[in-house]
Amino acid sequence: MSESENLKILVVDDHEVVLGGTIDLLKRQYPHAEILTAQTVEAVQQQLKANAANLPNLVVLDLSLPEKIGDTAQAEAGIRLLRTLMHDYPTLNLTVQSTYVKALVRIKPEIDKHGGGFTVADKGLSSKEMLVRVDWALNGITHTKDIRRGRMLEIKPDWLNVLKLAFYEGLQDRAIAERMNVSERTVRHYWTKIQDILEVYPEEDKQDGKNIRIQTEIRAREEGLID
Amino acid sequence: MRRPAWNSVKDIIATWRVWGLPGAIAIGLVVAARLTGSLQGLELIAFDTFLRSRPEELPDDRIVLVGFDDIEATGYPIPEQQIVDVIETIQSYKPAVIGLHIHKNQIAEFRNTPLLSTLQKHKNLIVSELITAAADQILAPAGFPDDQVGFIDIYQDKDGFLRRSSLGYYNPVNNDYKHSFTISVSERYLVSRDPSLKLSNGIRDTQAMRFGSTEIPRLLDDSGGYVDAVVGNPELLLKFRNATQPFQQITAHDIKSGTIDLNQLRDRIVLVSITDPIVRFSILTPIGEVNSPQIQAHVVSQIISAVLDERPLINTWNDRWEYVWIISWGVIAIIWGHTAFTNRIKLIGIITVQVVLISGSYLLLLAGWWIPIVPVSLVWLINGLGYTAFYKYDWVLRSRLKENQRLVEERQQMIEQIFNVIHNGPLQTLASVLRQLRDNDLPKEKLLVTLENLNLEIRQIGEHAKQETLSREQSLYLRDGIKLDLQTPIDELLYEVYSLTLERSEFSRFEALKVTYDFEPIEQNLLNIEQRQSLCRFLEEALCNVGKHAENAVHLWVTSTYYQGWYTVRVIDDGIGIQSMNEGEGTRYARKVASQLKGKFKRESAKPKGTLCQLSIPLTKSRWW
Repeated sequence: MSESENLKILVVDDHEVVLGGTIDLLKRQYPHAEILTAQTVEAVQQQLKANAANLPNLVVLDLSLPEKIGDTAQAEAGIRLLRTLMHDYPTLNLTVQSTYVKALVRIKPEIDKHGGGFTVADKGLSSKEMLVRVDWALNGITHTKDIRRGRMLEIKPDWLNVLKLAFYEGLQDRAIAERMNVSERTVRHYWTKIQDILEVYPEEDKQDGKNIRIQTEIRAREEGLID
Repeated sequence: MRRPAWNSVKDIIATWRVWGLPGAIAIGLVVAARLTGSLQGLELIAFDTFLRSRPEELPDDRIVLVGFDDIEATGYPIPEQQIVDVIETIQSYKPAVIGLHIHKNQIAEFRNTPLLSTLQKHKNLIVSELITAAADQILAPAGFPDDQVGFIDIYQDKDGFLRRSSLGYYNPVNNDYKHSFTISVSERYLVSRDPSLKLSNGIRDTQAMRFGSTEIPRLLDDSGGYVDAVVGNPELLLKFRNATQPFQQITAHDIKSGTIDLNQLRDRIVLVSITDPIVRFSILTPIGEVNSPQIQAHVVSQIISAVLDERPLINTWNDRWEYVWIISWGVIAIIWGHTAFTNRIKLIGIITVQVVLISGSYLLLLAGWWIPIVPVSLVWLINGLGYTAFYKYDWVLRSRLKENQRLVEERQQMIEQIFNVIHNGPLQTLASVLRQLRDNDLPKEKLLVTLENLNLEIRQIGEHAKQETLSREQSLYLRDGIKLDLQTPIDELLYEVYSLTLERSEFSRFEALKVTYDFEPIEQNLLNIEQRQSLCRFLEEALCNVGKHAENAVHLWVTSTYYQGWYTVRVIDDGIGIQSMNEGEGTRYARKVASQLKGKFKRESAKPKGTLCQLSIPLTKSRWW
């Protein structure tokens, strides 16, 4: 992604070393970005409150966090924080780092509803892959492939409607929005979710030079979501 | 047909045996207290109060009291001559009767020549004597015939009050029957009015006295509030003439000096006595302090008023009827306290009846009946108030019983819950292992691991059961001991159940499914814990069924919707559909839940293929959540 002058990223991790590593990585990728840090749930909320007027473009979050300094780090606390963040800032872009990303399954419905980018990065990922996830999140893309159950494909009725309206009736987003009685923005949000479950991600497609909507249609037919 | 009726009668009797017992004990205690005399004092106080509260009566002008009021002037004992003079003077004015309420010892005889004998010629003169104390009887002056003699003995009750008067006395030693001064005077007067009004034996009670048609009720040992009146001889309950100055009172001096018009003595009853307070002590009566000649006057007035004016005497009930009366009110009080009226109404009822009882027995006394009021009030108030209070306690008791029943039901529910946990967890694992064993595609190591897991699962259920028993938590246990907090919003809760159930490794079918899921959030307070639990359990069951039976299923729709007051959880697959007509444990559970929650359960073939399984429950805003 092209470097933005006023990019602001909040990095949350309770381990100094990991925090430092992540910051280094991000600094290299986005030299002009303003990087904020927080090590506890409490600190994250303070940071966001302090930057309420100009929220960070992205929050890179470790799931295992202490509530406040001195507490032991727990995935439970991170999940709670994530819930609150998604509830309070519905368009905030998020990248969740964790050694155990499966814990996120529990808040899948909230992730589905979340309007901002949401990517999951296992801590075992390479730096390059990690940066891709960050980039996707910054672009409002959802990537939750890693927390999916087996080969199971889970879809919301609304998303299925978007697919049907788009590919059976050839409607544009605006027309789909009208038909579904939602905003065009919501329809676009649905598309990112659909693309996530169909594992259609921009980078790969761009390289192939394929149209992302067409790719989505092909995958949807493959999966039997549309005939 | 008769048996149920008899059974219900038996039930009522059984209920009342328990119910009536405290009240019966209260009645028994009151009756016992009355029989032993513990209530006599109270009953007499009530009697006195009623007597005192009677409306004012007119003075009885048929009786004139003549008193020697100054024994320092006359000397004491009173010189015989003075008495004779006074009587002769009175006699000259032709009174109906002269009663001499002065006994022999109060008269100073003149030179042993009893001048009184000169008065024997007056047939309307009644003289007095004291007879009951055998040791110091003071008999009437000699020479007067029996019907001109009467005894003037009086007795007070134990509490010092005088309430009754003896009318006759049978002396077994001499085998003679003596009349009281009051009877002799009354008879003489009544006969002078109407010769038919001679003293005779009673008709209803042969031992009672009667003038014409008026029978004087004979007081018995246990009449009215008395338990130990110790009578034996005819006695009269005094109904004092309630007037400030019931009888005209003049002095012996008035007679001698002629300062007042003595013509008023004509046809009157004139009672001559000593009224000087030095020898004439006052006696306590229900209407205040009165001296003994006045008491005699009251008795005479009471008798002649009853005969001539039909002024009511005081009757009492037979003891048996008194107790019937008392016990009846005790029983009525129990019934009243046991009615379903509110306590407020019950209290008002108790007070109203109490007021009616008191005023009723007062009015009855005016009409001549002394009925028990104290014991009746006691049983009425004790049982009425007691049962009213106890009824509330009983209500508490019953609600506690209900609570107990709830606990039993909860325990039952818990047992079912545990069974469900076992059914949805280990039993599924077991079924899956069995299937794989039959298919011969389970390596020994995998079998071992599975069995170990099974062992763990079952142990965990035991742990849960213990926890549940210790504190009924608002949680739901799924397989592998995953505990869900039932307080979380229903959409999240259902998602968790959905998500956790689909993760089960034993259902390989889930892995390739395309699932459409959506859980509709609703207001938190619309669902109570039980409803949440049932919906979650249903979803788990339904998904398990898909895992077990929905062969060839590609699509799965798992949704929950809230529409027109109904919350519906629906699971649809496009598998081979319902194959067996047998209902599994899961289906039975769902039917039961549906009936418990007044909901609807549906399990049917879907179109074009597959199975639809749904549970709808009606939601109303609950008071508790």
